[in-house]
Amino acid sequence: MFSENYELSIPQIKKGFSIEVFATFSLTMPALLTRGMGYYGIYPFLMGTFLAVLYLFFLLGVKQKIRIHYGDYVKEQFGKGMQWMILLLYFVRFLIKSGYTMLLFVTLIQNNLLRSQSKFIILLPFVILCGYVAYQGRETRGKTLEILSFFIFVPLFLTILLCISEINLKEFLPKGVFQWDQFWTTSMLVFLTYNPMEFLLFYGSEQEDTKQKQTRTRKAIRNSFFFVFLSHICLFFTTVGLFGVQITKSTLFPTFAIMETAKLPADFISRLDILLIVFWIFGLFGVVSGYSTYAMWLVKDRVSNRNKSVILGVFLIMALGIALISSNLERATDIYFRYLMWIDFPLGILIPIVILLKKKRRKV
Amino acid sequence: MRKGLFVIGILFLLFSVQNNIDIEDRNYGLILGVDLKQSGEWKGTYSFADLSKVAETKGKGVESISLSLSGNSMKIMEQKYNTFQDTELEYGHLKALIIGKEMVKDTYQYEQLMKELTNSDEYSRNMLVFLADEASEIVKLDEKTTGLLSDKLKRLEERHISSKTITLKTVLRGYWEKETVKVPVLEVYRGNPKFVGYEYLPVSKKKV
Repeated sequence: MFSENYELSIPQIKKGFSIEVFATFSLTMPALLTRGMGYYGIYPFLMGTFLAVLYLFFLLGVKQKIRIHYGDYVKEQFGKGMQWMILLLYFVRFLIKSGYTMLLFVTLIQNNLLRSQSKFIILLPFVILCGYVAYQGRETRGKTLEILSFFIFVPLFLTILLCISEINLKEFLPKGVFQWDQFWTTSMLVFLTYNPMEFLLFYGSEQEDTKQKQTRTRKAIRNSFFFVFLSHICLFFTTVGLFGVQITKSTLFPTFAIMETAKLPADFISRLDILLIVFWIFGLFGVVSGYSTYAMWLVKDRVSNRNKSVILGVFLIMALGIALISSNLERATDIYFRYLMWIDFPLGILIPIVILLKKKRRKV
Repeated sequence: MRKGLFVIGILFLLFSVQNNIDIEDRNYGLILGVDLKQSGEWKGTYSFADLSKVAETKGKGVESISLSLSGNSMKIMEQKYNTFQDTELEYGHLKALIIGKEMVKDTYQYEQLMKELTNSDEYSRNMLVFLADEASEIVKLDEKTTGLLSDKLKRLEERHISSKTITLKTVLRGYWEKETVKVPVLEVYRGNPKFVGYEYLPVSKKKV
């Protein structure tokens, strides 16, 4: 049975949002910034985050106007054909994003834990878990992420604290030429990394909430965003301070490499990397399970339970297929960002606008 | 019934469809020595824990085996290893890297080595780095000494070398960010590694 428990508590929203927005690109953010802008990496990060703040306010505004469940709202406002068209667009977008996140996961595991192991074997348990969570429903996922958040953020900040003594401040002195074209391109890429913020449209209905709860929910989301911003800053300064710009640039997962250098006092555990890979395993699980859960959430009242299982199976198998056919993460990332820039992000803005316009026309 | 079939199906997929690489099929390098031969080729000397002996001695005394390979890069040597050996070469447990002095003297070859170490995530950034006249001589000591040489080097570094711990991260950062790095030099003394002083490593000539 699909779960019927539709609501998320404020702590679940807070923790879930942090994991969703932070997990995917925290792995590669320092590399993205140093490749784009070298020693000036922090500036496009700040600009990209500023654009993301605007996007966040747009999403919060949409959510406030819609007031009921996003899927229900689409159902209410449009005829059957249009409804399915919108749902199909979300389904395909979430599918591609899931595929890319799975590729990120499998590359991380292959590079650091299970070299030469087949992608299929690595991904199968991951996909099953994501499928299970999507099958159980949104609240189950919320509870899971709430618990996992401790295993995700506590080790991460512990690692950062243990690395502080090794940070070389010279790495933050600007060197070389400031290139404006690179600045705007990198800022845009940073902005696109915040794309999972879109999940907040699916968090639930505000209709039954008291005004106080609505305000608290919005405040929780804003605080989580600020937390993600601070976490990215901490990771960026730690990574560049430890390795320098040149190594950060040429390392595929530079933030993962900082784990190797952190050492617990008294040699309790000599290397933290294997232990802390858990951070990204759980984090990426949080993101992929989000895409599959919300893809299912959109069709919740439209198809029978049996068909939902089939749709979920198709979704996960296709996402798995995307991850399996992509062999090179760097190339895939390049294509993925182009896709986000020209197709996914414009759709992510246009669909809610079209939905809101439709509401206005009806009122008239 | 359906759930049972689902679980059986998953287990079938996991255990029979693909060829798993088990831990016994992997050989974990503990120390890596890189020398530059007179011919211009690199000589990589690897030291591995002899896992078969671990079982024999019930874990009390771990013995090591070493192996040298030649090639123009680490990648080529690794490929040679995987072609001729029945196990997969793994760097996940590397504890120390020893660089031959000839390699350091040759600016071009040293840059290639730095590039390769930088571009691959397999080489742990926290492994210790030492210099030696012949890196292979130090690595091969592992076969003669009791206990693992990697542990000995770690103790040597902690107790007898007073300067800051030099890891691969320090060396790579120093090279690319043009910071001078002082690396401990080792020598063979009565069948054991001995710390004899420090030498500065060259830095990259590339402009930022």
